[in-house]
Amino acid sequence: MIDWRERKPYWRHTKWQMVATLVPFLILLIVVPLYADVLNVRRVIGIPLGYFLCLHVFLIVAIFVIASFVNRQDAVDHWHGANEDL
Amino acid sequence: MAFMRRNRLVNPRLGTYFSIFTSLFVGAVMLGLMTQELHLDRRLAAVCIVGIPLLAILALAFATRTDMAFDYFAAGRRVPAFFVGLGSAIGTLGATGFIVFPGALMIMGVDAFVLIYGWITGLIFACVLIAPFLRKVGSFTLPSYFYERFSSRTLRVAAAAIIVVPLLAVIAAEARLAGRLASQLFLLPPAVALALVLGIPTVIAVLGGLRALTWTSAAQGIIALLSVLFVTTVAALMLSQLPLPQITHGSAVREIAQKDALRVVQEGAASPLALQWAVLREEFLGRKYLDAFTSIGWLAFPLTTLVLAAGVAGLPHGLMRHGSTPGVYDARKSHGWAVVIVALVLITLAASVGLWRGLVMTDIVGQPRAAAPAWVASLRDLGILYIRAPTGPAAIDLGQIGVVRDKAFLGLAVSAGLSTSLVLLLAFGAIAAAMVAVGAALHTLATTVSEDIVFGLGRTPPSDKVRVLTAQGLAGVAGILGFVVAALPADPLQLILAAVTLSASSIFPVLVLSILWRRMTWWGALMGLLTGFGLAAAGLLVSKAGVLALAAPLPAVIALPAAAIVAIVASYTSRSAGRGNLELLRDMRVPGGETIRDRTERQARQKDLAR
Repeated sequence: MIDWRERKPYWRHTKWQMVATLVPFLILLIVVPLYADVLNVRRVIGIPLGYFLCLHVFLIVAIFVIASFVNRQDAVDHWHGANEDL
Repeated sequence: MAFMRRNRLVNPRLGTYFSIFTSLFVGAVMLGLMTQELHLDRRLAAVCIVGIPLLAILALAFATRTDMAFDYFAAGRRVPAFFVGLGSAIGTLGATGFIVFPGALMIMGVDAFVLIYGWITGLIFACVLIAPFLRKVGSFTLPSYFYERFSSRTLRVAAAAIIVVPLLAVIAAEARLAGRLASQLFLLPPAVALALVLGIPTVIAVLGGLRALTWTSAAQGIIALLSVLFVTTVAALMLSQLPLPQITHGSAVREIAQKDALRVVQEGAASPLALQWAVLREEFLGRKYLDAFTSIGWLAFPLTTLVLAAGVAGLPHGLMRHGSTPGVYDARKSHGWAVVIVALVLITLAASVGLWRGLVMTDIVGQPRAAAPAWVASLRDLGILYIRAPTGPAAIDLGQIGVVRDKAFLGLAVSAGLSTSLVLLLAFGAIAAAMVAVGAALHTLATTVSEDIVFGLGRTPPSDKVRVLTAQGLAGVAGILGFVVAALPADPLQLILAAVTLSASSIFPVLVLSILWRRMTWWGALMGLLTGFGLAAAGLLVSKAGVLALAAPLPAVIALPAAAIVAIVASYTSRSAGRGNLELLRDMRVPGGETIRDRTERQARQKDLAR
């Protein structure tokens, strides 16, 4: 169980982890579709680049973001002793 | 319960059981294909592909029936992350994802990617901002969580009343989509098909609550996932001799782009805040597929994405499912699995639409009507595709080809010449996905009404048996109510968007503030909920009446921040939360330790025994 003195640092660390997870992802989410038309003139493995970024790359990045969040947050939990005993 | 090891909580034979189910399903499909190859009665294929798996699902529901409150409301908190994620993914997508999204993509082009971004980002929002904290509190319903957090019965009842509306909309939309499909494919009267699509999840919810729904959702999720993956892969192999259509459909998209470049299209870019969804009737394929911001303006696109994400994250039937995981870490992991499965389904559906559109551009566009391939007649007979071109030597233009939004998902399978059994399999996958969504929403609705409205006002909590019986009865009532609402004429996509708008405006901001901000009070939460709900509902009604062109979910762009601001101001103007509430907030922010609700129940039981 978490030590009483670790609660505030733990919550601060958790909030920063939330920001570090969501902000870059949201920037990518908003910015990339705005340039999809311009990027479609180029191709990657035969697929128009804008389409490839908006579909394939977006989904891969989303999976990476959530997987890294789950692992990073678990590491934060263990660092501060806030992890579950299971 | 909370201090047992995770590996002791989870049934070690789950993999075996679901492998058996998957093998049974694959065997049933192969049997259906064989009956077709042998030119036996067509209904036999339907019995094999649909009937056998449905019987297996009902048998699973019967085997997992329960009358214990902890199993009924929380599935014993022993469901592994993968199974929760699978049910959550398929439930989040529902028939909207499997049926409406391909049609919207075919008609709107890449603007329909806003739905992909909304679903995926919504699951990420839920994982990061909401679900782990709700799991630590361990409440069975969202209003119960608000009661634990703020100790206010008024807030509890008001939240329950507000939550009922989007849940009913989800039930109606999903049941309507699946019922219409079942009616057309199996030649059933519409009312009978609707009753079946609603009746099966209702029976499952009554028999075993969240426990039965979780395991049957996993089975239905396997059906939905395998059907869409298998049929799309077979169609891709037949068309391009290449597997993995998720990657190899790029050549079809490239050809579409090359052919679109030679076309002159009258419609230009949409205005920045324009939002024109594909509608229920047939729409003609005028727009260029890869041209962005032709249906949705460049400003409306990111706003719609964020609002859809907030709405998906706030939908109660998605959030409470994660309470069945063994712990907070598993609740986060289950969202990870949900994102993986949603991504796989959506990229496969996008590939199927890309391949079909490429086929349409190659085989129909530029040809005279008499030279159109035979599958065009099949698509016309099924009511999927229409050609508005005169018969004669004139070449067909893409703008003369019309597609029906809610049937377009079958287009590739029919065009590629797949057997009727495979088309049936794809449709059954969509119906299975709808039943997962309907079941989750039904159970959440029944549990919310029973726990928070019927028993929420009372001082003495009832016995577990009474709670379960009441929830079971209300699940049946919810099924009947869902039938009545689903029978009303409405566009299912607009119903889902309305549900998401209401959820994004009222539930999401109040939930997030209640977790992240310690100064939040019950009065602020109540005002936030009412403001968000009121503004969103007003926006939807005003848009429906034609007074303002503010298509769903754009009203939430105003309602969500307004709800947050009102919640903050109202919290500052009311007395701050008591010490007990702040202790709970501190406790729920830490994953370690016992689930708060379970600890409260255990202490209450010990007190009763001591007396």
